[in-house]
Amino acid sequence: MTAVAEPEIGRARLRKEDARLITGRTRWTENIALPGMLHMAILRSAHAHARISRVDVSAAAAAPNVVTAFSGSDVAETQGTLACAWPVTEDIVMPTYPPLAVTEVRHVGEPVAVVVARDRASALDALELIDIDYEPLPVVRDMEAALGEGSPLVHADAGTNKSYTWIFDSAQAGSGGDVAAAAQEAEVTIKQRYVQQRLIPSSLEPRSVIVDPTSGDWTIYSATQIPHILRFLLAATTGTPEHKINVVAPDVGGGFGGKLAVTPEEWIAFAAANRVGRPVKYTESRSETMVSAHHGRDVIQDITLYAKRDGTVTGLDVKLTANMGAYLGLVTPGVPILGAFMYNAIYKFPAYRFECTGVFTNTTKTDAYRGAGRPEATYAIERTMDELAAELGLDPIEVRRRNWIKHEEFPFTTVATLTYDSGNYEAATDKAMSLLGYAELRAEQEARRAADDRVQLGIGISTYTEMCGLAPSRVLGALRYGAGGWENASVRMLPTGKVEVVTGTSPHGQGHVTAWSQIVADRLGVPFEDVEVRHGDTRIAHKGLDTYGSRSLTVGGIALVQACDRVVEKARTVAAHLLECSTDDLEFADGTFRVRGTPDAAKTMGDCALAVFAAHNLPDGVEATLDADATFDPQTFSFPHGTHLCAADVDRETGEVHIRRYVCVDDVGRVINPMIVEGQVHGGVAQGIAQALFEEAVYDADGNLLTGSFVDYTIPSAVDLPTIESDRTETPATSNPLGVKGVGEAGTIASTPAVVNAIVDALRPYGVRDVPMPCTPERVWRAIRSASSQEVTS
Amino acid sequence: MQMEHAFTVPVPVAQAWDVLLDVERVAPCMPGATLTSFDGEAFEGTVRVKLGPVSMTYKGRGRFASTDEANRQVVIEASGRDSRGGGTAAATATANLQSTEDGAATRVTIVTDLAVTGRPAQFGRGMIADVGGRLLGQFADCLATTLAEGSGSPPPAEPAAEAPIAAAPSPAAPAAEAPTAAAPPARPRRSADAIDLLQVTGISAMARKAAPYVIGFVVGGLVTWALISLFG
Amino acid sequence: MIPVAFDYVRPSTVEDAVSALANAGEEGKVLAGGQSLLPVLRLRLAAPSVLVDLGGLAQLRGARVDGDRLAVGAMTTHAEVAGSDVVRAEVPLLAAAAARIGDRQVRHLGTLGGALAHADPSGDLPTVAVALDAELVVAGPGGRRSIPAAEFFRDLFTTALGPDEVLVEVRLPRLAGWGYRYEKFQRTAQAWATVGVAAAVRRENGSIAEARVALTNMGPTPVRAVAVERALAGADASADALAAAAEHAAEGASPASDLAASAEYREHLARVLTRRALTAAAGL
Repeated sequence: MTAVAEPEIGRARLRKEDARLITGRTRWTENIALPGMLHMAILRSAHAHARISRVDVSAAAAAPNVVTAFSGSDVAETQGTLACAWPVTEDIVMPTYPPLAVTEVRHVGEPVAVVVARDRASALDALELIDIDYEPLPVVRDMEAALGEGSPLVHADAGTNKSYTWIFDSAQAGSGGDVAAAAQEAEVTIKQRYVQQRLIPSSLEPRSVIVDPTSGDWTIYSATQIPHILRFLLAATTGTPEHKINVVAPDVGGGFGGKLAVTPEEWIAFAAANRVGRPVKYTESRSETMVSAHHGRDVIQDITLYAKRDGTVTGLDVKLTANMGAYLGLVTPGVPILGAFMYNAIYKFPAYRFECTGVFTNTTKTDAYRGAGRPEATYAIERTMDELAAELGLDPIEVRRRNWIKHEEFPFTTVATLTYDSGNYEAATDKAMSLLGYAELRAEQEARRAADDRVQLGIGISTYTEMCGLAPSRVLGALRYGAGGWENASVRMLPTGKVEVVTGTSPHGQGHVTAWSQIVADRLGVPFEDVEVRHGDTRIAHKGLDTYGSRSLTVGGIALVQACDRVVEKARTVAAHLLECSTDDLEFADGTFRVRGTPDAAKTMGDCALAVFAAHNLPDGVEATLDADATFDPQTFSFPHGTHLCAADVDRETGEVHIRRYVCVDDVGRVINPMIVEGQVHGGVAQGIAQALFEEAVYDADGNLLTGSFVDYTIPSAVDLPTIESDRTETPATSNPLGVKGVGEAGTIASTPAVVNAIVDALRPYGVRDVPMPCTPERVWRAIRSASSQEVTS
Repeated sequence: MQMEHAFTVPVPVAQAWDVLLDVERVAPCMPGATLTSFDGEAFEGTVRVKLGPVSMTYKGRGRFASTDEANRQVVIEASGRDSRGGGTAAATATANLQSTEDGAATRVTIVTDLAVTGRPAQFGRGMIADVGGRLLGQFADCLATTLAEGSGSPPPAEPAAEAPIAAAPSPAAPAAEAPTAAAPPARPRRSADAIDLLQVTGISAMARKAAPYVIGFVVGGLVTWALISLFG
Repeated sequence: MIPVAFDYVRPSTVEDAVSALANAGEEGKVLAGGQSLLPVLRLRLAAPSVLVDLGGLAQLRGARVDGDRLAVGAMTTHAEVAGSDVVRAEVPLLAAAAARIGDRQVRHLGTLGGALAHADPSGDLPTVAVALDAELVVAGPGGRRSIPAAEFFRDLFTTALGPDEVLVEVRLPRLAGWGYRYEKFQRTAQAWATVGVAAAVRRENGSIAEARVALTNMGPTPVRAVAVERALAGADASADALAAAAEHAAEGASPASDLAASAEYREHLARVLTRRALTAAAGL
């Protein structure tokens, strides 16, 4: 061992898990078949709001191959209720959320009745035999109308469609000034309304669950992001003893927040399995996903920004109206609140006020979707900064420069009370501008404007930061979230020197197995290939809080480092004993303990593991194990940042938008695996572009979801997306020993405003000030038309 | 969604009124409709809709919610359910008759509120409003013809019921030149005991024509049951 | 989801296919690639009792020159049409449109005959058939007949095909020497056309000798842009003349408003895309 091994951290390792994930030769929940397993199908409401006056499942129950059929009233006493873990205010309205509707349905797609049969086709056939009479009730679709006087109520017994109003005011918090004062003194006021359209998380694998109630306990396989939270809530809300429940999230095919949920379907499968005493599987069809899995965004943002004529921002007032849908899911009310701390973004605003009102409507519930609150915030502030620049005749980058926190000012405590530990917005922005050729493109833009070209060039800027690494448990407590934000890891040294790692995070495509292996390989000095990572099974990974909010590396990764360090310390004692020296005489490098000054006297981690296994010669009082675990609770968030630049060609004749260049420079701190980081950025950027240009869930006035399939809910494919030119700056986080910040949501947060800013920038000479998302060709065309007609009349 | 249709027929209002209330005469204007019972106020029936590969059958019931002879206004409510449980359709149609000044003709206004739920709404590429409008337009055309006949006259030779939604034949294929192979006689026959006959003709004639996009809607004066969809 | 159970027949001759359909009566359905039919079955928007799969009819695949016509078998896939040397040489407009359908998977399973018989108003190939005055050869119990494209498409998803008839061949005029363009506007690369324009132009001595133009998704069936063609007859092959003719593109069209676009925007697109298609087809 003379050659110094290349550090694993920082290597673009191919992902260990990809071969099985890509070929599908793995345990997706749908692939699992248990002895005697039955199949469940769910009848869903076709009404957005109706009273259930009669349900007759007898014909379905008597159909061929059917084992049982039941409706909400059959399980009303035992089915429990779904829980919302984030009551953001004391007086929040939190309606009962029955997994199977009993007396009333409140959105299209709500589960109403169930068939369990020997095969899936029979279950679906029998579903057609269920006879239900509905009495339609008035439908509330529009959020603002829902808050109006005399609106029909989604939950009549609540007496209101308002769930909550949550307020942050920097004057009250003591973190800044009074927005009202800023308003009075403002030299420039920018008032904008943005609509974050409703999106539907679309992961490759739909939701799927198996409940196995045999052998006296319950094993639940679920395509979920959160096996640990599912286990806890199932125990807490159904009264089932927690130690009798095991939840397994086998390989999971994507989530994007869509599987950060404890779902009615999981509860219904649980009820069904208990009813028949046999394993029951349910896998939804894509069209069921569209109506019943939770949606994302759907927020109206009223933004008022105050500034001086030199471009200095003096205050920001944010009023949100957030659509909860018909019920509160796991973290529904908290999603817009997560954005509350991000509207001030990378800027030094002295005064800030935020108010969010959550509203019930007869639509599918909303909940976390990649970025959860932070993309919305970033969009609003980055769009508004562009409008400020236009108002003042300044380059949009210059306006940002005049307001952002300078790199020498870190750590910086913001008007929203967060302390950003590190960052270098200048470096990321300079690098992005140089990659794009910003000055040249501005010159080209000028020429095309002068020539009044049919196709105009726009340059969109988004300088973002985000709070990642959810989350310090104390902060979550202060925000009234029902759980903590710690994470757990354990490291087991096997006698042959191989390493088993158990993580409480629950990957569903992110590449944890690879990245965790790299961290462990460096920390323990063992080969990358010798590390195996276990996750997602609550019997193996008994402690954890799962994967969402770019938390796995920044929280779970740190727990892993701590566990590794404990293993090394245990091994050090053993090595010292074997080498007959003091632990102080040992140095540890590349997986080997060497006696200082006598490098030939050495013991590897493997030697120590074997010695511990044999236990023939251990020091007195030393346990025969090197295994260790650790739980890490972060003291603060991490704050990745970056600059995304989008150059878009906009056809004034058709409204078509073509993204010509997309450059992003992200600073996610120290990088474990650059290929994984790049993959996360690419996917995130694609999803953000999708919001800007393509995706929107549309309801009609009766509450029908019109975008019920991918024919109408247009997700882009690779062909529709630009080449993404990604690069990085690296300003390590100072808040954790790895210096990492998280990258799962960065692309999604940054890209949406970059694209829309580019479109508006292209059309600004033609009077366009905004285009509602998604910026379809028709909407762009209409924006141009209405701007030009306004100019004519004025 | 709400749709409005208006037309004028060359018969006095009293005569048009009698026809309007004659379920057996008006029902056939709805493509694919079968009336199974009518007791003078309430009625039951089915509407089968075929559109390319899409085929759905709605079963439902309806009633004359109000018959205001003084104001010459009829309100009909109907609702139906797709037999595969894929959704429902409900309609409230308000028909107003108004005599022209010379009393020789009648202006008819039909306002229909149509609500369709389930798969046709969800997978219809958002075209349901457009299709609903076409369907009701076609029904209104047929009704205009029927009312114009007045009571007691024989049925017209070419009511719109023939081509379910071909209210506006494309310029490239004028209906008059359409090949005969695929156009069997589709117009429902009518007679005094129309209900039985409707059961025979309503569906079979339509079904042969592998076409209607839409669904249903029917009725006594009219009513609507549905709509439809299509996919891709 | 899973379709309602059905019987499945895979005949090896056209005659067997026709008789299988005749036996099935109202409840039979032809499977000619399944790219539209299978989603409908899986959503249970239809439940035919018999599917007659034409996939075994090798005789309905491929393209050949037959006199002054190009004859393409109805079961030729879009990928085969797009990649066929003879199609690209004789009727390149058809190959160009086929290459733009759906995605790769759809093009390798979907067929020319299936697309025409499905008569989706957003479909690309019906528009080409109408633009070029294709003849559609249909086999039924009484033998074969030929239907001009202009008469084949009757309404939304509705054709002149009888329930016991099978589309077997599409015959198109050979257009070697014509300029052509299929201009397709769509939300995403694999989406249906929001609007499409099929244009073929023959130039002679600096003017337009003949032009054929038809529009996708501008009405319940493909719309032949008669007014555009009239305006082009004998016109200069100049950008201005083409632009002037294209202004007539939406005349006689009755586009729907749906989630992809409003009728008003479709009419606007029809004019713009027609101008672009003509410009490309005329080689300007």
